[in-house]
Amino acid sequence: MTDMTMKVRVQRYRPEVDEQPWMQEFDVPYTEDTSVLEAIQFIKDELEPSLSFRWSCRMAICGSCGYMVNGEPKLGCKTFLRDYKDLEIASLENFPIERDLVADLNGFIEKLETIKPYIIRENEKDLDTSEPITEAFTQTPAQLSKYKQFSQCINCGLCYAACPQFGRNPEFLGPAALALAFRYNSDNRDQGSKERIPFLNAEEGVWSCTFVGYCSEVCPKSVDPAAAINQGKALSAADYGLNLISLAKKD
Amino acid sequence: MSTSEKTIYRKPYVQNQSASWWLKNKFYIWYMVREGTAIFVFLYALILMLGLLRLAQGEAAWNAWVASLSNPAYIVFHGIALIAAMYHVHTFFKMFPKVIVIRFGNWKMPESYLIAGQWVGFVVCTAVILGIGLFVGV
Repeated sequence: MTDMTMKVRVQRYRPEVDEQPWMQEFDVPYTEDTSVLEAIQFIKDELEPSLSFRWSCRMAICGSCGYMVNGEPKLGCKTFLRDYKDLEIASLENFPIERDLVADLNGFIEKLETIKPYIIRENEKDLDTSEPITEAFTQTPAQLSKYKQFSQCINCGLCYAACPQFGRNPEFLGPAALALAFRYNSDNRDQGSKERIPFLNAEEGVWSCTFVGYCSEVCPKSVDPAAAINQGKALSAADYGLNLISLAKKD
Repeated sequence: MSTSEKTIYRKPYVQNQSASWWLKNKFYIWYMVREGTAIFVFLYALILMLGLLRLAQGEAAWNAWVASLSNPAYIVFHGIALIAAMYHVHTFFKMFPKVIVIRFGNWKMPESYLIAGQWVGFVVCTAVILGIGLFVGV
């Protein structure tokens, strides 16, 4: 243990009294392995009990503790005080602020649902749902490797906080949702690409992305959503071309 | 966005993007530089089209246009436009492997191979075009 302390400025926003967010400063003791999340927990436990923030697993799996740390989207549990001289922690950029460090992610969750993030089979409607499924869909390691990286998303929302196009137009489906669409489109067990392609083709789809690339930079799980979106552009362009010569598969 | 009717205190604060969003960090600034290179490429294309126009107007007009290019302001502009275009090439080559993925079974071609391949192609094409321009065309 050492007796190091750091000035930590935390964004506050209490909807019942505040008109806009403001910064509150705290002195937080820390050691070599104190995370930003632990620093906020210390503030809540010892200094300011009314501070609100989301967290859960403490190990970069749940995706709950996304905050802006000195202006960069970070997971609180995966960011350490030792790497900073002082800290400014704020609610995720581009999302409405619910309270203090709690961002309103409802729009984001709805976008994830929009793109049908599950395996769709062509003959699904004809299946007798009263019978257990007896068919197995095999997948080789080579087939898995085509989408595995894009399936590592933990829905933390850091990529949306990093995306200026989402900041400009909140209707943009955004990095995680489009990466998720690409993940299912690239899965050999899935046959639902044509149900997802309209979302990719739309104004709010892949073409709203200008390949800033910061989403991939901040992603704590190295999903590389920018790659997924821009590979999705190739799919979308191919679909457009096939439609032009009326070769696209129809229902 | 859904608003709950039960809690009267719910008042999400909407963070609007400011016009200076791109000054917030280096990543955004370099992105704007990358996009800004288009301005120089556009101006360069205009100058080139003006040259075509002069060529169509006859030999005297063409020679006058070629002579005007030795103006120091033009030379400085072309220097800047070359740097801008080269920066754009660098960013394009760097982003290319994210869009074009080459696989053989489990093996994915490393990004560095694709980037190096593009630079080789760039150097070869430049040498051929320069060669034609210097020894054949003129």
